[in-house]
Amino acid sequence: MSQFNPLEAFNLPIVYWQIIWAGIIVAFVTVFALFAVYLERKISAYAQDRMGPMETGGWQGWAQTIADALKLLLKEDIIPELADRRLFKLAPYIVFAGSLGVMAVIPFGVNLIGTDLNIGLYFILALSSTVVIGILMAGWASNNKWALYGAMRSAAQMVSYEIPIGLSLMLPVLLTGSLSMIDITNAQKSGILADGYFWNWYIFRVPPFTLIAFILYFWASLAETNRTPFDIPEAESELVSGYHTEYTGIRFAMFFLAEYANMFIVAAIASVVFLGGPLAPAPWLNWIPGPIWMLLKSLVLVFIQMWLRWTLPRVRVDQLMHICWKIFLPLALVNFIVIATLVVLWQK
Amino acid sequence: MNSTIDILDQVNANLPTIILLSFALLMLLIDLFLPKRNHLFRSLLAIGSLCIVYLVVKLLLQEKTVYTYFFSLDSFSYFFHILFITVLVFTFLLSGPYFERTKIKFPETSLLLFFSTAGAMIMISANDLIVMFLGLELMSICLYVLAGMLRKRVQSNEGALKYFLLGAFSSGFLLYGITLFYGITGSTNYSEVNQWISQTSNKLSLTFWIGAGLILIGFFFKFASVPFHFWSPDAYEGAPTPITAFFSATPKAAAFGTFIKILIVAFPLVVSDFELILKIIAIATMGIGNFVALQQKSVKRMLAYSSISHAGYLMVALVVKSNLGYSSILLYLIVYSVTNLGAFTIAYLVNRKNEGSYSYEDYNGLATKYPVLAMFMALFMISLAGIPPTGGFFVKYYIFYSALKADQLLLAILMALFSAISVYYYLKVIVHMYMKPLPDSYETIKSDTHVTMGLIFSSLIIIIIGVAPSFWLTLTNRSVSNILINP
Amino acid sequence: MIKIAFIILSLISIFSALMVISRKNPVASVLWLVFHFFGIAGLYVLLGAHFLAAVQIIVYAGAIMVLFLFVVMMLNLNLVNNEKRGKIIGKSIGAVVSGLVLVLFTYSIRTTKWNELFFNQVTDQEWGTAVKLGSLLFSNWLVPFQIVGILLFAAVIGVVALMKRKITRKVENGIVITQEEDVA
Repeated sequence: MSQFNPLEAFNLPIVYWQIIWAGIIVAFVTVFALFAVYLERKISAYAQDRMGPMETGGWQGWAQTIADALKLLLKEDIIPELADRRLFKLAPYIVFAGSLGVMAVIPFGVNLIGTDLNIGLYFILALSSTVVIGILMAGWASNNKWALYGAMRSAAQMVSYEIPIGLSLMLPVLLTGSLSMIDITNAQKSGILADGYFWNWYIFRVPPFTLIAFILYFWASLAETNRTPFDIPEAESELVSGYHTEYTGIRFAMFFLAEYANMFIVAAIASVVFLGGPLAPAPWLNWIPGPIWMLLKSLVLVFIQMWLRWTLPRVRVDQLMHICWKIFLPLALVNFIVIATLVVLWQK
Repeated sequence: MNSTIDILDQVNANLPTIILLSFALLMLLIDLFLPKRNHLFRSLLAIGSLCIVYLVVKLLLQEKTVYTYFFSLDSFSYFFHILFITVLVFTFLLSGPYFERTKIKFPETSLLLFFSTAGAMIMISANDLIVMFLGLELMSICLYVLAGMLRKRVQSNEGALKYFLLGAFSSGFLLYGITLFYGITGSTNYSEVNQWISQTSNKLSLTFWIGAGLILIGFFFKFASVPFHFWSPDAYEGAPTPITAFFSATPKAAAFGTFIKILIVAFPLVVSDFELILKIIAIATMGIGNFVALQQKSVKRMLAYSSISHAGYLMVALVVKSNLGYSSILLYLIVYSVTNLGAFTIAYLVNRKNEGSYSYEDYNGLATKYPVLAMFMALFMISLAGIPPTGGFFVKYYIFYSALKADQLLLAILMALFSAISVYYYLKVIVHMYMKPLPDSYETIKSDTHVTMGLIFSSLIIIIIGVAPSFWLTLTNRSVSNILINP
Repeated sequence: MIKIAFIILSLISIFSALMVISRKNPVASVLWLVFHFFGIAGLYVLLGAHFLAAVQIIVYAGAIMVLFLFVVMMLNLNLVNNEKRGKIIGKSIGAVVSGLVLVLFTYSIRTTKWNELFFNQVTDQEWGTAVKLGSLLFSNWLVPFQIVGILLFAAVIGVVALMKRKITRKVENGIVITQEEDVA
């Protein structure tokens, strides 16, 4: 299936559409971050039995995050005197670029995608692994103990959790036989019983194993995005706020944006790879367009992330590593081997 | 190489290596259930499994030859497989008291020894530069770790780091050479490289020579030949002594064996173009190895430099580039490995202070107190010096003879001259053992039956080769002349 | 188009490689090395080796360089670096020799007739995909591939052998005493 290109009518090559699409993505991520911050505040308020923002903008304080964003943009940009200025300035962009680059290969519709790389999923893993470097840069350049500790913890955590993430994401790849995100989406259209129903999604495809993979991926991705219960890199009770302690104004906003973009990205990956992405759960719901399903699924997962954040306590560093290396990794490996064997047997 | 290659053939061609590796992994598993600090049982286990591998290689496979694109199992690789297994058996036999004394982690050490032997075996049986490189790296990585096994000693750390950095550097040279070769010839396979050379033999480009030069440099590092020898004395001194003995045997044999195989299979048409550079380096290696060994105050360092000079003698035989030269290298490797293993063992036995100075004075009057041990050491030294009736004399003689036969008069004369110089520092040990008085306070030497057995075996091998050298030479000659070249 | 991309990517790689060796601060060197790897990954993409490019980034930029940064930051090497480095004669000899080597290599690479197999492979659009690479690794190259596995296993064992130690903690009079000892 060829890629969606609305500019075809004007005889323009796909590159122009891709540039426009990149703009749409950036705008979307920004708007999403504003929305998600508001949502998070409301959810936390609900979880803690209070009201959350109520004043700004009138109804339920809807303009609160917009006001906050404006405040961040207008604030003074402080760079500590002993900081490594160039690295300090560069770090937020690297973190943000790493997160945003991933969006290029996430399909919002069956053919609505930035670019359909033949190594799509691997590209995601590769780019998100470079975010660590930005975080380490930020922590080191700040010349601040808390920032450095936060960066170190974050790097250790992200590098470790990349392994179970990679292994669980390989299950759908094994079942599809392709790394392309479009191929993975399309392969979830049909399979068992009737085509076009939700039971063809990879989460339900090979009953216990793919479900386990999904859960593993989701949990590990919480660590990858540094969110509770795995938010020790920015544990405010010990480290003030981790690697971005020294950041103010717009640079802080970049980190903030990257964090919320990351939340959406891991949810989007999970929904494409395990939950059929833009596919409708049943054929008679096909009239609702793909992007809406995609957003819906991702938002549900984002909601779960927030829900977990405000209900679970933070784990300790050693517990974090224990969970990764002694529980997630063996499970993911066993899962991987079982599915690989099944695929080989199936092909014979 | 567009056709598919039968994987079963590849597995068959690697059968000895695979059996060795499976035993290594099995040992790793069994190790879990053994009590700590039971070195004896562990080394018996290792020796037992090696004997099984040896029997499999010797009895079940001996007549079988397999040639695949990546590997070949022929008389040449059998020879080296058996040599490597023998060296490993000797290492386990001879290292018992040392491990008791130094508290080195034995399970890991033995596993790494197994792995590096497997790497050496892969190197020898490889038919492809990339696969050869994999084997080389498998061998070297284990060796880097082994060199640094005595973690608390500064010398050990220094030696390991030097070895690692320079080894990685030389791997870079080798790999760049392989890359250039791949670019020009379109293949990394020995026989395909040879085919390509035969098609374009008259107009080989500059890049070809640069690639060949880089590969040569990579090998010179592994030989520890002269401009590239700086790592070797420090690595030898820093490593635990039984491991040093292993260093002087397996990696050197693997490097020379692989180089001979590449010369015979890949570069038969251009081998004479390497003559000058090999000649210069051989002379430099012999010279510097011997002269620096003269000045050493530590026996261990002396043995390290002497191993450099031995690499020089071996390179003389490479210059000769005849089958006689190559087969005398093979024979030389047997004698030299076995002798060095024995000499290093006695060196650590005599040096009772835990990894101390290894000075010559430790040997004072050894003959009066421990006559048998002194006799063994004297035999090893005589063999290293190349004095009849030991095997060491005959292997040197064969190389000398082959050099004369190939009209390399200068090399032959220099080799004789340098061997004569080397007699001085080898005999110095004997002088200290037999002619110096026993010091007043004398600690006893702790040994065990394994070591005694190992020493007896190694001296037997040296004497047997000394008694019937021509029989052994025909044996190695058969190995060399039956290398499978793309049947 | 491809030529321009090639020139830009090679300039990035060369420039950042130069920065790696000329920076005094090791952290800066490591970060330039990351840029260098990105440049190389871009060159792989130009050659059609997409999978290799992703591997380059995920393994080198994402994992190995992070560990490098980790170690460099922990060791805090900046202090050591203030010493005077090398003598001017040694430096100039090194520069001349490496310049000559550069000229020699460039000349030889420019003048060589490279094997035609090379050009055929690059024109095949599929040759660098995960599918092609995987089917090669698991058919003809299976045994060498397994050897790589053994190699990595040996490296893991080596690291454990070098680093394994027993740390005992005991509390005496309210003070925590840690002891390290090698484990056989």
